[in-house]
Amino acid sequence: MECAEIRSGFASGRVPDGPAVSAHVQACPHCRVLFESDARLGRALALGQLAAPEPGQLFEAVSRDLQAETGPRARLRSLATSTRVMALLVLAVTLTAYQLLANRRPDFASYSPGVFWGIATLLFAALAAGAWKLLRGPLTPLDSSRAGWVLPLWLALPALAALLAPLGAQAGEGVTGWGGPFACFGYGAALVIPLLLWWWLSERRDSVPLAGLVAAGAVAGLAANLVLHAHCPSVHLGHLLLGHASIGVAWAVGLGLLSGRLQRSR
Amino acid sequence: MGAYVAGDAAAFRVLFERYAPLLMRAMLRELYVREEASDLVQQTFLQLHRARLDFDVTQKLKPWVFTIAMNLKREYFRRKKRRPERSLDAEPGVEPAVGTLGADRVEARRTLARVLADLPADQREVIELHWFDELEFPEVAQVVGASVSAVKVRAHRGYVRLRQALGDGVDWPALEALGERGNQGKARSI
Repeated sequence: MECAEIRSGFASGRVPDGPAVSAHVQACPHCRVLFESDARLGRALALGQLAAPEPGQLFEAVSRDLQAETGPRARLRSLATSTRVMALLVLAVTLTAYQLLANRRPDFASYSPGVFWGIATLLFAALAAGAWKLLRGPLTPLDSSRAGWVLPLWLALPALAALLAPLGAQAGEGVTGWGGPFACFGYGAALVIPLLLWWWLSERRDSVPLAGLVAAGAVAGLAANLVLHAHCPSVHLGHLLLGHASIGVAWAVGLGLLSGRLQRSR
Repeated sequence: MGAYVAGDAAAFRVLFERYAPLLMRAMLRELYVREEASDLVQQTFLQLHRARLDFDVTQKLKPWVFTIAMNLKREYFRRKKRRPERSLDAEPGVEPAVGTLGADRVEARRTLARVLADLPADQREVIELHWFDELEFPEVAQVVGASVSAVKVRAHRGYVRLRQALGDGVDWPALEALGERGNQGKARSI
């Protein structure tokens, strides 16, 4: 490690780091100055801050909160996130398995297994990731909870599945007309109500922010698309977008409006 | 926290006494209405209680608690549809650490607070977590969910911007005096 490497690192906005840098800085007074000026400014900032205030009567208020944490919902909320996520996924898989066993799509035998399970895996993986982030709530690190592209991606993923669905259908098989998208919409949206109920019961935040409600809608939409993928033989893009992919958006809007109304009524 | 997770209710009091003042200070930096700050600290402890089984007892507690607190603070500002505010005057009942300094140093402190408030959120966050909340860089990285080197880069860019913003508009001798005073009591990495 040489001085020039450290200086060029600073010049490019990249703070040199690592054992070699530390060893060099210990021995080199010129380079140490580069690091010390940052530290001096930091110390000046730290000295300008407020002293840590006494919390006053807060402990009594927090104790009251904790004493009120009793009953079935409190127990659900206190389950580990992995348990709550697993329960939500088991619910989604059970609904999908029921469709496959008792109510499967009529073209299931002729539909490409690779495409079928590929789409199912895509939707399930997104559902698992979405449920994890949703149920972690404020435990999510700041950067990832700020990532604005995640929610639109979850909402849009069923549309991608709709684009892939025709690839699995054999010629002459599957429903290529509109085929009643509103029936699918209603069926899919209603089937995922137990998932939403589970989310609401096990959600730890008393007041869920808008992003959380949209995430809940997106997760419900992914689960609905997984279930409908096992049930509906349509490969018509309009049907799939209107009857399947729109469910997540509809739930997100619905939950947002419901939450807004509840807050106004308080 | 391990004792609390294991069911020792008395351990909660110890946790509260250790973290409540730190969290109050972190909240008051941007809220400066004591009732609102108290409310967020109260919510943080409630969330800590509900999420206690998620805590990995082999990990440090402080970054975990601050992740919860910072998320709740950000959700609060989003709900209120307003940007964080900065107080340049002390909250009643909360004395600044440099309260005994002269007017030039108090002015230097205010100037620093003003330029810090203008930093981009990601840079300000890491500087505040490191210098104000006394988290080491690996802990800051855990709170923000970035790598340690990314966090150091953000802090460094923040320092560069701070220096540019301070320019000639600050009493450097007074500022240096603040820094030197800190040298005596604090030895922290950059």
